[in-house]
Amino acid sequence: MVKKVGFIIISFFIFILIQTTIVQYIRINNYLPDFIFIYLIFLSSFYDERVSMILAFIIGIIVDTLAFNIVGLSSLFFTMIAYIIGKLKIKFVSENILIQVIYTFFGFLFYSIILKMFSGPEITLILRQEIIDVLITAIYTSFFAPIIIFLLLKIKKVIFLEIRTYEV
Amino acid sequence: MWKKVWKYRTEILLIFLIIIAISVIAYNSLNPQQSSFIAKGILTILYPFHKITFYVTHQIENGFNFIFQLTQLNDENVQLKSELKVLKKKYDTLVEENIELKQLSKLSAFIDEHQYKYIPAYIIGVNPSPLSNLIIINKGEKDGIKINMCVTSEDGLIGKIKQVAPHSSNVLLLSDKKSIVSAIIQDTRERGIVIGKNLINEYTFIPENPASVLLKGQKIITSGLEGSIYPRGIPIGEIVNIQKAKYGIYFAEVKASADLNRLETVLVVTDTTANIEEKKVEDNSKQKD
Repeated sequence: MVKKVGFIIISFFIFILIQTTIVQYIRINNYLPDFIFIYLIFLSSFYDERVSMILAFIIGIIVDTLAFNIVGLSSLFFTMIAYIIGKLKIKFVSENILIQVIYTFFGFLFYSIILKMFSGPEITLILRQEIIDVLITAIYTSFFAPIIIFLLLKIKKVIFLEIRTYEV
Repeated sequence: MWKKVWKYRTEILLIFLIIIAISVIAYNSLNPQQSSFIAKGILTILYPFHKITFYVTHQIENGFNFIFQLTQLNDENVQLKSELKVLKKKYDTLVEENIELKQLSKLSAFIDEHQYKYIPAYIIGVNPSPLSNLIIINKGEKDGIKINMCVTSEDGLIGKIKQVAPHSSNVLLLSDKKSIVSAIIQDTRERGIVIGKNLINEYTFIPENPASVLLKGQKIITSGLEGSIYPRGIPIGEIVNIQKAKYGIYFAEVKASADLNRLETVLVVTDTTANIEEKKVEDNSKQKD
């Protein structure tokens, strides 16, 4: 349990680092992938839905605070996304890469549009260009989803193997 | 009742989290000017985390910047090197010009001091034969150079013109064994001859009178005897050693006053008989007539 929580906290910390540093160098025409969102998809897909909901809520609060968004907005939608994925994973196989890509794409689209609408002091309609921007960013983020989730799964497997050998 | 609640625990948790999130959003929306106590609390809790993140990201960014800059540095280095080459070339040219200017000013001072007619010339070559001490200058017959004209530098006597071509001339250096110059010791006015030794910057002075007193440090100058091709008073060198030869004859080793190894410009004396002032007077009188 301690290792599980430790893994989640450390990996989240690493993802924030990656998002604020390395991701800046893969910027294409001002479009950046959202690695923290991919991390959220990973948590929702491979952890217990209640645990992932609480984690999503906390991650949302931290993301809002770090990104100076309206505090609670990301938490609300991250929690909802975690719940939906938690429900969907009963029907679909989580290891399927295509499923991860679809989760990331639609989840990010939904989250970004809401965030854009609440970005100003009042709720505003989003412009056509903003929708295109959100679409491109969603595609770009989805492109990285299978790679990152694959890597996280590999790391997770290694940690579990370590736990097993330790228990033996 | 509790079983039903437990069955829907996920949905209850979801509703609970949504209510908290909406409350936070509502609180923030109602107080847009003030940062909420939740945000304040989170920022306070996250302060060390922020600090570490900032530090680590800053370090990583610096590292990445360094790696990315390495390629630029290479290009910059190539560019700077080429600029440095150009500047070095310019610097070398300036140094060269400065040296040349100094030499020319020395020559000018020499000309002012020894009022003869001169043709300045550059050394363009050295005779390749090791048996003779010859240099080639860039002035020849067409410039008014004739055989046996005296060649000097600002420091002293160099030699004489040995061969003349239309645009260049060969100068037999004083250090050549075939060179003989009539000379005097500057302070005692003792006469003698200076002979080359085929050694650069070294001559032999043989006094006319075997009983002459020779001392180290005495300066030897050209005597300018009638019929001599060398004008009077041009420095030849300085006595550095006195030796005794057979039959009680003394002779002196003379160190050349002009460094023959570092010659670049020379003056060819074209008229030794009269100085410029006299010439000017003559010219003026001719014009009046």
